[in-house]
Amino acid sequence: MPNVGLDNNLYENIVETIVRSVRNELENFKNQIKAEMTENMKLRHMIAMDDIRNPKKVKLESIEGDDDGINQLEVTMCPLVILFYSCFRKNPEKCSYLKAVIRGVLALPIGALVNALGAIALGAPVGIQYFPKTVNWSLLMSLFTFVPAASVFGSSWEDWRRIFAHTKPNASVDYMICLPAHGAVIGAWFGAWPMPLDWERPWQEWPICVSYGAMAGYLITMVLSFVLVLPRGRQQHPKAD
Amino acid sequence: MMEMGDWWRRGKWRIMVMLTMLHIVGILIFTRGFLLTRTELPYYSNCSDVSESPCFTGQSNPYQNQSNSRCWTRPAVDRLVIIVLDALRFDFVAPSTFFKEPKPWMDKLQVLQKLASTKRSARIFKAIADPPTTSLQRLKGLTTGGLPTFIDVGNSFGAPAILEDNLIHQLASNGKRVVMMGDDTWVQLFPHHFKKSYPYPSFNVKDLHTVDNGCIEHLLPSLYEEDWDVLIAHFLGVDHAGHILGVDSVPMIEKLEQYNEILDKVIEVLDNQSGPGGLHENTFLLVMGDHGQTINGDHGGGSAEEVETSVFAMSFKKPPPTMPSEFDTSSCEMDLDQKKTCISSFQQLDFAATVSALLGVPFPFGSIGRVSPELYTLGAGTWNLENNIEGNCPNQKEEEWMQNYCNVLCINSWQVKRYIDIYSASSVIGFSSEDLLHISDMYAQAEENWSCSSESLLLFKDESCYSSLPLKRKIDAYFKFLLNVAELARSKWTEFDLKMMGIGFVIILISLPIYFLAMMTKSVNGFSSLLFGDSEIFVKLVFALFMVVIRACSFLSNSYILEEGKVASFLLATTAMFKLRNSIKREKMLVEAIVFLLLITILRFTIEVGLSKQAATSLFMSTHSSWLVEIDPGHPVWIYMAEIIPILALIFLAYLLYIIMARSSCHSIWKYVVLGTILCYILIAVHWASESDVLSSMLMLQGIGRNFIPRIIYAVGLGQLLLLAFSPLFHKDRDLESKMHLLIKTLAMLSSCSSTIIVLSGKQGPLVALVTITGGYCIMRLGNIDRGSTDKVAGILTFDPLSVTQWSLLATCLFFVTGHWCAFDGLRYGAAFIGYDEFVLVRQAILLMIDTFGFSHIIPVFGLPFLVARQKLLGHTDQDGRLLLLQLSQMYLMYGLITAASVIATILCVIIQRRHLMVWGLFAPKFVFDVVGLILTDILICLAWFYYVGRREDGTQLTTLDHRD
Repeated sequence: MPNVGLDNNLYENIVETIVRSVRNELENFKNQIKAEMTENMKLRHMIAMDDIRNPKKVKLESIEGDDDGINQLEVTMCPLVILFYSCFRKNPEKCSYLKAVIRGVLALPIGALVNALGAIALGAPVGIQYFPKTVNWSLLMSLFTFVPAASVFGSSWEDWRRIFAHTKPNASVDYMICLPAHGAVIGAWFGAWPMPLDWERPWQEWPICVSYGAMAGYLITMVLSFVLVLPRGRQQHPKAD
Repeated sequence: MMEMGDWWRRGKWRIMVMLTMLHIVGILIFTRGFLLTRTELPYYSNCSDVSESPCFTGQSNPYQNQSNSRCWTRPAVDRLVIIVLDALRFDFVAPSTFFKEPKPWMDKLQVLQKLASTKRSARIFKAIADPPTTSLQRLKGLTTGGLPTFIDVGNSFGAPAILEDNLIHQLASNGKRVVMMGDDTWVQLFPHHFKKSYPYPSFNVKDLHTVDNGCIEHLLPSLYEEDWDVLIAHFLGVDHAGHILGVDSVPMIEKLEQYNEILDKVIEVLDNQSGPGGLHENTFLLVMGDHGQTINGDHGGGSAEEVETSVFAMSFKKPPPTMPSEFDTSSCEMDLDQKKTCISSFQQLDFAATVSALLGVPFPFGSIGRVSPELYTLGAGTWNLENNIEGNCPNQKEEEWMQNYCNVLCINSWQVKRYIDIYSASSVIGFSSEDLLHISDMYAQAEENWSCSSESLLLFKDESCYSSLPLKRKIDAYFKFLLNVAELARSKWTEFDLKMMGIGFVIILISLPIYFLAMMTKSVNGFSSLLFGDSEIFVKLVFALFMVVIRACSFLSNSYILEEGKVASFLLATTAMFKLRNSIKREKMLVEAIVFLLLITILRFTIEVGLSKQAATSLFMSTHSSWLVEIDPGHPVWIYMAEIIPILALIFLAYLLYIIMARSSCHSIWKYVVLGTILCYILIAVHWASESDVLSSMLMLQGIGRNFIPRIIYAVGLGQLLLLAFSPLFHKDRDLESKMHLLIKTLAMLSSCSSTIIVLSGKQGPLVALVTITGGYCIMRLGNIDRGSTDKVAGILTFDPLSVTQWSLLATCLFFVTGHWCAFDGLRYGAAFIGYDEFVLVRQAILLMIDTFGFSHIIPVFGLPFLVARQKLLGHTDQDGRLLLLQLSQMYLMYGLITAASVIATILCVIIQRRHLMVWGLFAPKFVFDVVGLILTDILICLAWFYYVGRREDGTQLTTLDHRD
């Protein structure tokens, strides 16, 4: 079946692009952290230079800078994730690529809403100044959790239940949806822990460390899922031939 | 082995009582080692007291007739300038040659170093502070001459003003005019003592300059004034710079350089006017730190960096004083300019006594310090040289000095002895009798033989000069006595008894394995079936334990303790999400799961409101609750809502109770109890309506006594409890184990407790009660999700461990929801006076206790059987009472285990963090609340067990059941 072969080629290509983009993102992170550290130094210096009339302002600015980083990440990742997962849509003969993409796009705000509600139940700050941040963060989380599942499964409740409630992935795609989604949620959960600490670092503000936690969890489980899936792909490959 | 097993199995109540005893014993032992207490005595020293001392017998005091103004000691200095530089490290002052390597922040206060090396009248001291090294405690210690502890039992509980006798009080009451400028802590501590004060807020750590600039503004002009005798200037910049940026930072060095300039100016002004007849002819300058700081700018603990601070003392008297070499304990080094600088050592404890002696005021009553020989010499070294300058003895000056100093020490020792005696007599936890005997011995030794006067020394006079030997011996004896007292007091008031703490901790720790053993008594192979058989329960158990452990670990950090309510709601929400996932998995009870999550969201917001209240009073936190601002509390709609909603909720609660009663067929006695509660609810509603402005005008209820209704409610509640306690006497039917019966019993118990708790909690009461009921219902329903599918009781656990964990977390949340937090200002003192106007300690303490622990401890413990009873109703249909009992006992044990685990974590953290900056502000109150909560929980579990089960387990009925399987 040449179709599968092609799919596999595509798959490997995509893997490569993903790996590249991940590397880019890591590089970005590094730069971001560097920038943040210099920012931090600047902040300390600002206080030192007696300009302490309004330390909050300085702090907020540095945080907004961080939000921009997350925004960028979202903008770059969003089409990537949707396009990538749409390739693995269920029942490709019934459902066109475009339809899968649309499903993914539609799932983005819905997933964001669910994630935001969850975060608020857990204790995320509520307020006008936090609103854009919460939106950003929940879009990111939605990208990690809901969008891939929506692109692949559409509105199949059974599949959603199997992936998210039972955690019983079968196919390789299931692994690539289930593991990173869980990883992102658990990572975000752990990422929230440093928030109450009194270190007064800018990254302790909502939702920066939670986003970092989610991304870390996502990346780790993504790699893990590749490790789990790649041997399967190789096994399937000769069979397909 | 079999007997042992039988004992375990039958005597659940024995285990529970045993665990309670274990906890109480362990906690008592631990507390003895940890919570250092000291009783504040309400006595004050007076000038006339000194006649009681043995120091002025007969004509021995040559100065008594000379001046009538003299009080205890002869005043040696006329005016005193105290400049306090907060958090002044020793190495800020001492030359860098005293340290291994020079650091950027050293040698900045060069004016002090220069004076110390060139002038005989100036000297740098290394001052040793006693922990806790926080400004407030240090100021208290410096002025009272004592060792402040966590619990200074006294009248000043809550208010910061020092009511104990202190230096400032003595100065004020002996006609010395005190001027203060700088840190406003002084004004809080001494609200009425200063003639003039220029306080500046010390609260904002990020503000480096306000206090200092204010000080500078007033300091130099004041030096030209005549209207003061003691001037205190407290600079905060170094402390604040340390707190935000650390010691090794540019602002810190800038601050030190700024201080150098100021000190230079101050000394110049003083020096210029120190000539004969000048304003500062006999002025004494002290530049001192109240405590040190670590490199990061922290202080509060007992590390060398924190306790080592510095005192620079300088006398402007001419000619400069001399110091007898015998008592000079200084160590000398070359400074940067190759001049010899000597540094002596000084205990902050001695400050109050030394300054009192210098100024000639009575020593503070509770002072246990010794008049420091070196500091005293600087001020009083040459005070009578003018008269005896023609003496031909080579060491006559020293003689004179020693005689004078010996006299001072005599008064000093007498005063310390008096304090120790009176303290031991009046304090509950005094010194041990051996220590007292030892001290009295030493005092007697010092007192016997000679007095300091010259008459008795005539015996030892050779030629025209005194022999200094007996005088020196006497001074040494006084030293020995005073140092011993200080050492004893330190061990009593500042050192934790680690051995006691360790023993207490281990005793409490032992209870953990007992809990596990008691829970696992059913069968040993149950454990394996737990591990390999039922994975569902195993996952839940692991998850539940994970939650408990993570909550316990969170107590390691002060930040998490501050936000404990948030942490609890966070964990509760996590478990709720886990349950939601389960309910999606099973496709049932979705509504309950979602309602539960919503409920937690509400709880979470309420907790934040409570936290913002706490932030208003707490020094350690600042919460921003932006969304709170949007609600304008003054709006009439909100007022109406606030008045009416609680009453509606109360009526709804009463209705709920009525419905349940009507539906269940039960004994008349339970019915009466519940009816009584409904009556109470109505009374509470009437009470609130009569209190509120909005409703009372409508209902014309103003006339009813304010205190009458709450008292009726307390009485009814007590009556209900008594009725329930003696209910077994009224009927003795055998179907007690049936789930329905248990349910009714629980309901009766809860309802009889609830009315009192609600009336004490105020308007939030019925709402919190509704939340508790809804939360409990959801937890119970969700606990049953898996019950249907696995219709067997597998493994050792016959219940859902996650449900109990949730129940316990919910209880923790409720503590914070009801507006409490783990600090003494978190108690709702108003609750103690509902129904009573006058204060009776025991009665008000009980009411306060019920209010504080009502929703978080009493209701959850008594409500726990709901989880069992309903589970049985839904899952099984068999009437096996034995299983019910087993479930109940395991649930109670699990609940106790969770509580004990978190308390053990708190205790462990207290041990680890005992030298932490916030140990007294944060960890210790948390410890007290947790410990009281644990003991209360234990006792309540025992009571609940007796109430629900009694001793029925011991009966033969169960043994036969045992034989069956």
